[in-house]
Amino acid sequence: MRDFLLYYGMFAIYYVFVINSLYLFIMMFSFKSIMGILKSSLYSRYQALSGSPHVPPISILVPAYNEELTIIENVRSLLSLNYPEYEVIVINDGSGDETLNVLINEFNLQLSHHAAVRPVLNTGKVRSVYYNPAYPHLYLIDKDNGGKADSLNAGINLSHYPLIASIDADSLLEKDALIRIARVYMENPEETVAIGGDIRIANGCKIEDGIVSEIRLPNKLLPMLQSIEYLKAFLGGRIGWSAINGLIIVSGAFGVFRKDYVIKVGGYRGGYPGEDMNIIIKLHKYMLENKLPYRVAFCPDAVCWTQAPDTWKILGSQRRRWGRGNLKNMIEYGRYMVFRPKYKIFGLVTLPYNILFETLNPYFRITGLLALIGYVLMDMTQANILLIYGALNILYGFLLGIGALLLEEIAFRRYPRFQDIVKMLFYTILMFFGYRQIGVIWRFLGHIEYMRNNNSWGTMTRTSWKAEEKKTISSLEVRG
Amino acid sequence: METPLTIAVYMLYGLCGAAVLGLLVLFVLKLRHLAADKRERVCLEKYQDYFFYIQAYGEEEGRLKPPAGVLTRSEKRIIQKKLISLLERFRGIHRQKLLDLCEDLGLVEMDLKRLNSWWKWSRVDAAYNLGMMHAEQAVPGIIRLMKKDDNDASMFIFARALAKCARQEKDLREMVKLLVAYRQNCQPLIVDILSDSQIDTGPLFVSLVSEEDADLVKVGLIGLTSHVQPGMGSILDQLVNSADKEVRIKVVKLLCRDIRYLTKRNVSLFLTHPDWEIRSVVAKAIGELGLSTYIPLLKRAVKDPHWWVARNSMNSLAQLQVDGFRALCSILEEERDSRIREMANQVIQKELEKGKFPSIDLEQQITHQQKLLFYQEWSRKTLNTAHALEK
Amino acid sequence: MNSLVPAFHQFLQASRSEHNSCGIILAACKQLSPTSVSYIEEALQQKSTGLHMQISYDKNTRLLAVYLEGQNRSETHFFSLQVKDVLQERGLLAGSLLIASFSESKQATSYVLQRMIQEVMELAGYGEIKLFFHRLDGREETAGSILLVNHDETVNEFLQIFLQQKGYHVTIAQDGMDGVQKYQELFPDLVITDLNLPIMDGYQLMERIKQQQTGPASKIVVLTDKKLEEDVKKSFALGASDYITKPFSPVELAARVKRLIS
Repeated sequence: MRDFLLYYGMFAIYYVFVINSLYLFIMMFSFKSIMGILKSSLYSRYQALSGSPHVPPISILVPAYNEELTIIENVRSLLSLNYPEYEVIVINDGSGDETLNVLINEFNLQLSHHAAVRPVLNTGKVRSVYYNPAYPHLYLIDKDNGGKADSLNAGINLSHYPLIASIDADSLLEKDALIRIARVYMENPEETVAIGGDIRIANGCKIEDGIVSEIRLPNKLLPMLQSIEYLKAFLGGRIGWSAINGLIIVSGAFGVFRKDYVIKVGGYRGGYPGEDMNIIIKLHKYMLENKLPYRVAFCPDAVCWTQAPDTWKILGSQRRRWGRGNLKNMIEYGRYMVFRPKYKIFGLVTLPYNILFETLNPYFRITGLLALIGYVLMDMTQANILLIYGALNILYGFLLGIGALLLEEIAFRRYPRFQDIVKMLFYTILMFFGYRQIGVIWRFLGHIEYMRNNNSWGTMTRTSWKAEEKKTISSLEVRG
Repeated sequence: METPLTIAVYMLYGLCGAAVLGLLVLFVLKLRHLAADKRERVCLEKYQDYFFYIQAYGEEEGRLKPPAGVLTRSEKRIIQKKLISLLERFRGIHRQKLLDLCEDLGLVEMDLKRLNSWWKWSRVDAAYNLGMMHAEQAVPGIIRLMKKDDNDASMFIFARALAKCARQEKDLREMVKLLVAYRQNCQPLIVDILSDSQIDTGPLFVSLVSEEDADLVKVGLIGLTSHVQPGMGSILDQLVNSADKEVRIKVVKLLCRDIRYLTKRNVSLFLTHPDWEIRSVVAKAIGELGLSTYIPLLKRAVKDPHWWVARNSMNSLAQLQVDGFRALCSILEEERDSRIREMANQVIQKELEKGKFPSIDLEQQITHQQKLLFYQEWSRKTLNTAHALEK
Repeated sequence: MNSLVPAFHQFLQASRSEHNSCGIILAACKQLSPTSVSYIEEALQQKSTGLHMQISYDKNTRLLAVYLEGQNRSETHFFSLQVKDVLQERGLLAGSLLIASFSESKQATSYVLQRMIQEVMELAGYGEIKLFFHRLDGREETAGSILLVNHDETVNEFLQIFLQQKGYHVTIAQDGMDGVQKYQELFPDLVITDLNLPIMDGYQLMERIKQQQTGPASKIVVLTDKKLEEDVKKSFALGASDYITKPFSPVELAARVKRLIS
């Protein structure tokens, strides 16, 4: 018994080592591409491009559910992006609050009886479309509640342009984020099916009139930990994965897609979380099965700021949801595509990595830790094995954090002060004393919820954009 | 049992070492960046009066004087950055004087040397700067880099720089060829890059359209949409029958911008073309150009199986004043297919809805009133006929 | 009695012709001893090889004057940078500098010089270099007031310098909302606006301005990156008198501005 526990414990140690090494390996690809990304982002003449007639037009789709506090600022900010030709389609997903009326009043929208909706995708019932020629690029769809995926599909039905951008209602896009993604697209239009943007945490930043006027690290614990997490995941992970065309997810908060291919794979899958990973998996599958050259790209200099959950309850709900979505996607698609050469890097590298090290992560880690604890309890002289396990986790995680911060310092430098780096390093280590462990447990709980067929999206209370002071005046009053 | 553990311990030592190394690199990099930022601030402040001088006297004759005293290399770079930020916003004599100043300061020379640097990104920086400074001397160097460098995204940076520096059409041509060889389908980007050029790109586009390579033709066609050139009729007619679908579509788009090309023969040919994109483009163009003579052809086109063609045909009819509107109503009356009737009704209602929003144009208001009147009469009539039929 | 004026006349007499351009730089200094003055003179002579130059210093007003022959405005301005450097090196500068340039030296009368002396003494600030505009008829007259609404700081800085040189009074607003406010405060003769502005875009700004037109209409010029036909049409429909795309030629902009304001 003791031997079994030891061997299992050793296996857990190796597991942790391999998972981190693979991550490091992918991060090497990020480093390889980072100079190219830096120079391209510096030298691509975005200002001039933002007025050029050769840039492809985009339909921005904004599904909104109970967003009355922030929707106006968000829509206003979306209407003034640096981009030559685009439209903003807000889809009110049967909100229970005043989202619909707030928009209609603010922009003076009128009922448009006969908007050209081409029913390519099946959606829930669309009640009406609103429009005002004074805002020629703004459309509002009112429909029965059907979820985010359903809303996106409804938006696709109305959209007039060949590219679509899926944006969360609480995402705050930087003014040139879209044109930067368009540049990545224009460099390879036929093969690019999807491009993801960089998501950063807005907590702690100063936000005025829908623009992030001053970038600062979050003050509270949870948003700060998430900041580091996102930095590692996006800069360390996604740049590298996209370099080998193995990117498995494009954030629902900010992603651009080829509409024709999205339609070809049947649009967004509704009714369950994880539709952002799902659409990318479907796109990979379609392109690989039809032997079409393609890439799913990532544009780290196109930044979208979002408000991170700052209470354990809401964060937990989000992570459990991610866990459910991940599991469902792996069961629905992952297991048929994994280890099959037909699916190239995606099937041979991405999916195994995802299944073994993300989906099944909780099981290995929890059981491994328990085994080690059990072994040590049986033979206290070997206590240092636990220490080694812990130290391995922390050190390796720290190393990866340093890598991510290095990437940030080389190319983006959005947190310019020296003390910011120190703070981020500190939290990188702090993460391993509780936060990561709870994250693993949440993921596991998410799986349990999946097995129990729990389908909801959980709690997410929306707070207004006005930063630290958290005033309760609505933006209507501020507008005057 | 022991050895795996010792391996684990060695791994830990290795990780420690790597982490320390990483931290060192990170801190050094950060400090260097902060120092560079500070240097820049100091330099910009030191030369504030000088920058005022160069911005205030951009119009006068004679070259702008370089700042007095000796400049360090980093100062030159910082001043170069400022000059470039001004350069990219101007045209005309102001730009010329700034360009002369760049040359007088030795900045062009500095970057020409860097074009041969051993570090790839130094070369890219130099090429960019030379492009922004419109340095003619850099053209052969940049072409060489484009041919040699491992193909990646820096090709586009080189291409932009080349577009700005080139003074002769043949250099631009070479650039287009190199880009097309590197990546086949980025034609709109190529045209955008060419729009930065100082020389007239019209003749280049015309010559590209006659090329063999379909990609070059596409570049030419896209370019021609912004620089319409006379006398293209015969070539374009030939290209309509090209084997490449994209080429066909782009040619038709180009033809549709000019009324002269939309002869009766062409229009009926295009509206029955096997490519739905072509049918759609032509249907849309008829409405935009106000060609009421083709209303009967449009009436036939609304029955097209492809959604976009039908939709564009109906929208065009709506744009063709009262005659077009009448045609729409008659479709509503005569057509058997309910799908088409519904779409026609949608378009009609949308057109009538426009009366809700105040229009600035008096003419538009008049035509709208006419349409409204016609609709009211027509609906009464059809209602009566419907009643009569029912009885 | 100010010693600068006679010194200036001396200089003029020594100069070769009445039709040469000449430049005058006045600097507010601390109390200078004769040695300091000669030091300054030497330092400046070093920097100005071949220039016909004369320096004089007035103890009462503590003003240092530099007279240059044959130097047009830009050359005078450039030289003033050297003057400022020299003074600051030795810590002798106590205020700001005023520069003027005359295309014909006969325009530089004592009256003008007196006015310059007055103005430089009234200048607040330290180390600033100001340009003197001689109003030939003595009236306070600006060519017009311009409101510049643009988010691009470089362009704003440049246009402010450039247009003020031409005699316009320039106010800057960084976004649409600010633009509307400033418009209501100032009612400028001309508005130069970008289309892509934070908070409230250029189109909305133009609409608001149209709504507020009570007296004579302000002209609007659009200065923007956007090159789409649709934007051009819409701008003109909303009342713009002109549409200029970036990169732009400042000379042409100035010409159009002049035409619109006059």
